Amino acid sequence: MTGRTRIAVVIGTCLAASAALAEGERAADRLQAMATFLAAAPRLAVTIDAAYDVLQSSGQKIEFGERRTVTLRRPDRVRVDVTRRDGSRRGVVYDGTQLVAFDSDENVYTTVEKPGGVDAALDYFVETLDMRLPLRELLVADLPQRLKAFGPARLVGEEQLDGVATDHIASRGEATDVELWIPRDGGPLPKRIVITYRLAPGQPQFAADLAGWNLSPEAPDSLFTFTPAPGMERIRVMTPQGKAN
Amino acid sequence: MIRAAAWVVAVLLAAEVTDVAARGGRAGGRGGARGGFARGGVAAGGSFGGSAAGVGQRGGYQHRGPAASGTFAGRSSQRREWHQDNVERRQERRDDRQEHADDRRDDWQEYVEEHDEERYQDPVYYYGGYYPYVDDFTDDAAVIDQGVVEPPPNWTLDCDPATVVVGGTTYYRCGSAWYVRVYRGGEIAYTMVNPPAVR
Repeated sequence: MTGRTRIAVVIGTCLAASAALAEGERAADRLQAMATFLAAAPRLAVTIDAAYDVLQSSGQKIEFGERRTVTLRRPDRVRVDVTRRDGSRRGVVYDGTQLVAFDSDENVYTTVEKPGGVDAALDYFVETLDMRLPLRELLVADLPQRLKAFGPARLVGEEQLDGVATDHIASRGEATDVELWIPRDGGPLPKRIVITYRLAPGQPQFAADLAGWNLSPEAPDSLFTFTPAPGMERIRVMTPQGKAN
Repeated sequence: MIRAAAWVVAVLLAAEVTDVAARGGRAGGRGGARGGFARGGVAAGGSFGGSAAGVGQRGGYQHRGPAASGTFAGRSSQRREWHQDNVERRQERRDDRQEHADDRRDDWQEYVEEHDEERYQDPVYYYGGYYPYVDDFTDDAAVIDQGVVEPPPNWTLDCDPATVVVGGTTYYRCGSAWYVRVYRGGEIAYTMVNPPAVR
């Protein structure tokens, strides 16, 4: 290979590497724009249509799904109402001091004191109480920091979702692969999120379509006040070992 | 000849890069591994696949699992489980225990006794079997640590239970075993408790 040939190959390689780097930077920028935008919103509402795989003991993977309507009023109010595909209804309400989980079909609820605001309450709800609150990361104010720590992002490509041009971005954490579709125009509010639990048996996925984003929803105090229905029974939460405190 | 080929490769590479840049970083052409991501694979076929329709469990599908959490990184408790790779062993243990509700009480007591030193660490929060057990809700503790010895979860009861309401709590009786409902992993489960106090 002559000197000119080497130079040409090096230039080509550098240009390719530079483009890949630019795509990586763009993906990271898009993610951070989304995170910053969400973290700064004083209030928001969104509807999430989610589906998730559950690996059965037979080895068969079964999909379940639910619709979640989320209303957040920072710094200390959140409400999530859930309707599963089987029609059962449940939810979570936080009023700044008390977390309530309720199940309207089982006619039970539980209350746990947790002052300190939405971020602390939701982390406590999921990590300590071992309760479910999918995509809670989108509701916490330190989302930008959490995403930075997650793993490098890459741009998969530009894709159309329901006629909307989006950037398809992929990121890989220690135990999960996360993909997001963020509109190229307008507010960087995710339209779709897919999480693959790479280390879990069967590598199940959680997939969510997010719609109806509203950054100025009606959010009166009464929305975040839970009053048990007549006959509703208060039950307790059983946590994994050593997590109750 | 070789020199000419190298120039062609370099020019094509540069042209592709320029094209990508001109499209604002949009990934390359159709097919293949656009943007470095493979697009093929088993699931991409979208085929219903072979004829091996699973027999599986009739009804009673499990609703719980890692993907149900929908967390970006997975719940910490789940990650521990994955690393321990003990999911199947736990499931077998659950199945064994659910087969014989009446026998379970005795088995459970034996199991607990093996961990005698550990089980009295924080009795207020223990909840089951022959533990020092708060048999009503007067202590107002909303959260129960399942303790060193993990009580077997019961997502359903394997009998048509008799129910008794004591102190606002519904107790379910299957044979000699008594249960109450708790939240566990975000779902409603039954956990074994001492019989309700007769007043």
